[in-house]
Amino acid sequence: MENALRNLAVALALTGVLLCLIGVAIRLLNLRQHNRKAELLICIAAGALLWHALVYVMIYTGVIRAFPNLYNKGIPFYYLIGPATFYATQFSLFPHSKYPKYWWLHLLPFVLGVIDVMPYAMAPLTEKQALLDEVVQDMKMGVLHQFGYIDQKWHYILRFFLAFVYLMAQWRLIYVHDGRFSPLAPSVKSYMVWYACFYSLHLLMQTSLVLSLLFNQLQSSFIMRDVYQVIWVSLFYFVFSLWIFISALYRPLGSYALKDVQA
Amino acid sequence: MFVCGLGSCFAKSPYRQVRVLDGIDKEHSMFSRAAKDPAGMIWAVAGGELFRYDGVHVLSFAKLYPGRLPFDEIQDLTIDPWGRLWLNTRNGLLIFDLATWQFCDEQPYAQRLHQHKAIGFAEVKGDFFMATDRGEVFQITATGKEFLFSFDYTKGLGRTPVGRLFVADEEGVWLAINGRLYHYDRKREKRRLCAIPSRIFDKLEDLLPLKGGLLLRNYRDGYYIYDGRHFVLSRFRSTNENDFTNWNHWAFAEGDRLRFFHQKGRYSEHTRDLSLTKMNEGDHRLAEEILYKRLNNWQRSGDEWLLSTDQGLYAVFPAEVSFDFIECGSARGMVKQQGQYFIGGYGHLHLLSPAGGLRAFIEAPEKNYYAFFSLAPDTAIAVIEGEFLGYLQHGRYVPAPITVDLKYRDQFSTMAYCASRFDKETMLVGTANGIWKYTLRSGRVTPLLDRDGRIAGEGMRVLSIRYENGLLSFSGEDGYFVYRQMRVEKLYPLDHAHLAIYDHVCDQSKVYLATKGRGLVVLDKGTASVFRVEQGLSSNIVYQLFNYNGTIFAGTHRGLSVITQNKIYNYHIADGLPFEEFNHKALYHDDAKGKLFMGGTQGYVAFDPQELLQVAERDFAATPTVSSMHIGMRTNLFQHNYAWLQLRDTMELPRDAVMFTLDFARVNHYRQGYAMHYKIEPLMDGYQEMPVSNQINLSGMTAGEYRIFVQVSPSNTARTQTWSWLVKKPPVFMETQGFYFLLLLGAGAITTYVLFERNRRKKNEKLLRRQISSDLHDEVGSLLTGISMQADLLMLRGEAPMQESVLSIGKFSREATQMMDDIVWSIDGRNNYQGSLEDRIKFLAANMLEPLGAQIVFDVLIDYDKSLRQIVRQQVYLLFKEMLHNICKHAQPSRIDILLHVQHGELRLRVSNNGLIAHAENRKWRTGQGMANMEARVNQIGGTISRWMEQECFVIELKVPSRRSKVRWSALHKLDK
Repeated sequence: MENALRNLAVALALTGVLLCLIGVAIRLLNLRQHNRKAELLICIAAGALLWHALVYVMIYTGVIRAFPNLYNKGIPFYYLIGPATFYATQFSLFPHSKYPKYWWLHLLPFVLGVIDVMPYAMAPLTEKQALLDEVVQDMKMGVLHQFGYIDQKWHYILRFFLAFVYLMAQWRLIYVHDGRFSPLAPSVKSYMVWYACFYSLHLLMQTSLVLSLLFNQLQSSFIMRDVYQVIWVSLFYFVFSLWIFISALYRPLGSYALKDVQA
Repeated sequence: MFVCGLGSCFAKSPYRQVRVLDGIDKEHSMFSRAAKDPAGMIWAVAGGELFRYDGVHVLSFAKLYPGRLPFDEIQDLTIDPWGRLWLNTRNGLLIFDLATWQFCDEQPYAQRLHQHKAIGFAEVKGDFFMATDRGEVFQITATGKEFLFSFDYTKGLGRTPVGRLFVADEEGVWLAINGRLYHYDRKREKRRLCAIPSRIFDKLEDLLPLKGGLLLRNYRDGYYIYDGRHFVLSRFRSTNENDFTNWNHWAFAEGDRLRFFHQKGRYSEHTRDLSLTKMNEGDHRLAEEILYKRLNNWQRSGDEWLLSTDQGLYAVFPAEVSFDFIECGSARGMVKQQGQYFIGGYGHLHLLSPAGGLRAFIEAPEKNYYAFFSLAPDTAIAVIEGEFLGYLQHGRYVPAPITVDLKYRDQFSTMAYCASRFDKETMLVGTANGIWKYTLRSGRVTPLLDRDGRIAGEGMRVLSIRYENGLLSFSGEDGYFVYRQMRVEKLYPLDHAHLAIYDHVCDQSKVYLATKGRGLVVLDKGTASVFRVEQGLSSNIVYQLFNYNGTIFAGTHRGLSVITQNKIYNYHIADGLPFEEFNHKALYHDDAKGKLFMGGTQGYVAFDPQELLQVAERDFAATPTVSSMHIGMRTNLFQHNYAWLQLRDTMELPRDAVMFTLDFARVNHYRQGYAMHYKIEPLMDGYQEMPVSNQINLSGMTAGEYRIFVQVSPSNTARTQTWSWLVKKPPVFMETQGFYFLLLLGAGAITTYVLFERNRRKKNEKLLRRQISSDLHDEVGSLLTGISMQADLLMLRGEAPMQESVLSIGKFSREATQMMDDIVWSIDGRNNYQGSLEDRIKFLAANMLEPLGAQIVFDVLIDYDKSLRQIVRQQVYLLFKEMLHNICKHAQPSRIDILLHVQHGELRLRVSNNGLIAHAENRKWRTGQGMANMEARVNQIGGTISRWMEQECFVIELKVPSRRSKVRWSALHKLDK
């Protein structure tokens, strides 16, 4: 039973990664001028999420040992998911809005993340492999390792806290947007509402796992491998990826906006 | 004096015995039955009760079994190969399954059996047989039973011997009952029956199955052989009287051999066939006393026999190492002359003859014979504590002549402890006051002096002397020293510390030191390394050392340690060593026999050092076993698990478990000593020694997995093995991901609600403003426009009697339209976009000031990427309008400067004009209603307004924070003031 669930979780995550990848690729190929910013930001968020899922699966299955240079690269990008999603919503619902003057403040966690992954990136291959051997054996080591300037668990705490704040702001934008006085087609808003829903569910599931880890740090290694918890995260990521894929294939953001704005 | 082991110095003794338990408790030593289950735990019947011994505790079955016991008295006990206890009670047979911890009566193998009693059990190589009091013999399997044959039980069982009258081997099953012998041929599946002559059956004690027949032990006549036709009294006899008449004689079948253990340590092996050919003969080390302790029962479990006696429970099993024990009391030095061993000590010497006899050698006087040094095959120097030296020549003691120069008599001590040869004529003797030279020919004693004229080792008890390769080394109470070029040099310890070193041996460049308190010290080219208890040595007090081809045998205070290639093996009583405390100088190696003799507080132990080394490399078989698990729950309830099915490698705890205790059995510890260490992941990083109770407790558990590792480290083999158990604790709801999901959802919902409420007000306000502005614009605006148009029409007609009034109506209505337009613009949220205020100000200025003909100069700088707040935009615009209105009213300007800057979080509006006509000339301000209104508006948005004259120009300046928080705080501050 556990093995079957474990295989299912991996299969769902990998399928999600694939769907996400195709969705991102289609979006990038169909970029149009008026929706460029929003779609690019969605691509950044989806790309970071798919990387996260891919690396997790690689650790879970032990494949990461063959690719030590792929490990510990995504931390800065995970910080971008929140702001990218927020601004994608803003630029979709309020096309005339601009980046704020101090937009680069949103990149500060990203920069900190880049600095923090440097020690691992610069480490000799043997050390990387030794760490990955430990991480695969005991996933807790992914948080406890010393390749970084700060305690790695703070990345999880900060990232999900920021993501939660951005998510709230994202929902506020959706609420504030009044279709009666907007030149945009109503479908643009429903597009962003769906996006926010799937992203929220995925984020809630992931954050609940992180909370579970924080409140039971003793068993963090077990929790990260507990198939009964991982399967839900995997499932919700799959649903999110499915939306990324389907929306890119059939009803990308540009097609609504372009048609309605012209109308 | 006990002499059972004397002859065994020269013959192998394959079995040894250990007392497993003294009794159920201190007051009850009698055992009637005992058997060992497949997990290694011993089940014993004592006083009709059933007990379990897990190597740590003896627990009554009544405590282990949760329900009401279905029996009152247990009479017989055996355990089948599948872990089921077969209990013969006074009221019938009970079968208890250790796997499920339940009594079985419905299972196929148990049906119809529990109402009857078993009269015998037999087991051979995994096949299990039983005979019932209904005259039926069954073969029991893991899942069922098979009827084999029936027998006549009408007369009952009759006499019950200690031995067995129901036995089996690979060929058949034998049952002797009521003067008849039943034989079941397992291959042909046929039963045969014959009568046993009454003279044989009446004294029948035991059956031993042979290939092609049966050996019947008759405790009056000896052994009878049954070849399938006749009963023939064998010629198999013991050399001892009454050897077969009672249980001072013991025999069993094993494989293709019969093993006999006779009185006085004699042991023999015979073929297990009708010929009974003797295959081996020697001595056993079984203490016969156990056979005199009223043997109640014996049962075989694997390679081991459990002997239930009135005075404890014993186990007999093959010996791993042949330690031969010479029990001569506290022993010192030893020497061999004329094939006999002379053992030193306090009092008389002991003489161990090659035939195995040990006796006090009363021919020599009682002295403290501390050590011996052989000068020739039949001549040895005896080092005597208190009399300096003596001779042992041709097995006779001869006092040594001793002549001490007068000048040394005060320093001379007769307390001698060790000796070594210095040259052909001189011996070196270690005494309580340094080293003295003894001239063999003259008996003259002189001290060994250094350059300064001091005695080497003066004031110190010298315990060990070696003179090898021209170098004299010695050790004593102060350390280890060398004597060269008439200088005494201390080599260890190098500081001024005093350390008693009992012995030292040299091996190539290394010197091993037996210290009192620091373990075994190894000096190698100036560096010292130490083997202590922490490194695995038996004890930090080492009394004696022997170098066997680079392997060091060390007799310590707590057992024998063998150090080879940096590995340490230890031997204790549990390993067959008869004692653990060794003595200084009690050491002798018999080169001819290859035996090493090491003496201690109870005598000497002799063994083959090569054999001991081979044993050390063998695999170790002890397996840690969980004997019980106790789980404490939140509800203060405890759950106790003993069933094998519950104590598997993976154990699942209930959700509300808060603590658990694992009891580990210490199986076979009486056969071989071993240490147990444990580790619980993820709680512990390293291993800890298992507590004496052999219990592991864990409390305050969070949900997850706990892996328990138990490491078994035998004291005398090189291999350490590790076992692990997985304990799973499922989460309660508060620990589940679902709970955290709901928690987050709740937090998100509350946050969303707060944001929603806040934005809802804004959204409604925005909508209301838009509605008001639309209504004003559409309804009131059109009305005013209509009025002004009607007034214009009346003026054009020139019919109106009151032209001026009509003109006024038109003027006022246009002004009202303009004012309303301003208000509509200011309250309509759609005008909040960037640049809206700037455009409107320019438009208003053009409308109001151009008619004055003044020059209007704009200075606009907007460095703010957001739109202004509604209230700020509205009030600033109305304030600006009021400023322009005042200019129109109170001045005739030729130039008007308008500055609008939005930067650094502040909006600054400054209007300056020249051409003041009224109060300006007096430089006095008149505060009217207009200015008060302006200040009130400024306060609403948290700004400041100021005015002054500058180069004939009137300047009025408004400053408002453009950021939201600043607006709010400034407004509050102003209102407070």
